[in-house]
Amino acid sequence: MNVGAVAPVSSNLVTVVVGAILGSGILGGLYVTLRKFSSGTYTVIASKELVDTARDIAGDLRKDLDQARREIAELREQVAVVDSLQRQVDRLEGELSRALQREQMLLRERDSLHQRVRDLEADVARLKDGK
Amino acid sequence: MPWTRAGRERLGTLPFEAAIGFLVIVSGIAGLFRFGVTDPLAKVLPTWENVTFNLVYLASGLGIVVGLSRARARSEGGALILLGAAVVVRAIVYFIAIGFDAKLIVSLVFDVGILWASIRRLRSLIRGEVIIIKATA
Repeated sequence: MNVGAVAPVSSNLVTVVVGAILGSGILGGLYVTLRKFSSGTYTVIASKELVDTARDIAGDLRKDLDQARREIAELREQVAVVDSLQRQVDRLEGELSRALQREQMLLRERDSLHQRVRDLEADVARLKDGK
Repeated sequence: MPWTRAGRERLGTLPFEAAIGFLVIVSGIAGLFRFGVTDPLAKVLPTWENVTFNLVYLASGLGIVVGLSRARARSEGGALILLGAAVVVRAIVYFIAIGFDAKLIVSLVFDVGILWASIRRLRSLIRGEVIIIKATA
C-alpha cells in the first residue's frame, strides 16, 4: 500500500524507517540518561557576593588572558624575525661555502697552469739545447 | 520539580527550552488522544507506531521539564535525544504525507531549528557548562 502524497512510498518502508529512527532515539536517550555526566547539576543558585566575586575573578582572568595573548603575539613576531635572520645566515653561509669551493678550484687551476708553463719552459729549453 | 520554587527558577533560566518541553508534552498528549488538527502522522504511520511516536514525544517533553527543574543533566540529555529522533521522524513523515510545498518548508525550518538547539544544548550538558543564577532573596 502506498502512503505518499507525492512520491509513492511503501507503508512497510516508512514503518521500518520510522521504527529504526525512533528505536535509535529511545536507545540513545536511555544511554544518555544512564551515563555519568561530568556535572550532575548545571544550574546553581548562588548568593550575590559569590556571583560578584566570581564575576570579578573572571574579569581579572580575562585581563590576564588578553595580556598573555599580546605577549604571545609579540614573541611570535620576534620568532618570525629570528627565523628570517636565520634564513639569511643560512643563505650567506651557502654563498660563502660556494665561494670557497670556487676559490679552491681556481687555485688548483692556477697550480695546474703554472705546472704547464714550467713544462713548456722545460720543453723550450730542451729544444734550444738540442739545436 | 517544576512546582517547587527552585524548580520554577531553574525553568526560568532556560525559558525557551522549558516552553518547548511543555509544548512537546501537550503535542504528545494531543497526538495520543487525537485532539485538535489531524496529524499527518496518523495518516501515514500504523496505529502502534503513531502511539509510540507520541509516547516518545511525551517522554521527551517530560524529560526536558523534569531535567531542567531538578537540574538533572541526564534526564534532560536523554530527553533531547528523544526529541531529536521525534523531530526527524516528523519531518520525514510530513514530507511523505504532504509533499514538498510551502507548508513543509515552514515545518522543516522549525524542525531544523529545534534539532540544532537540541544538539547544541546536549553538547553543553556533556561539557558540563554551568549556569549560575544570582539569588534574589
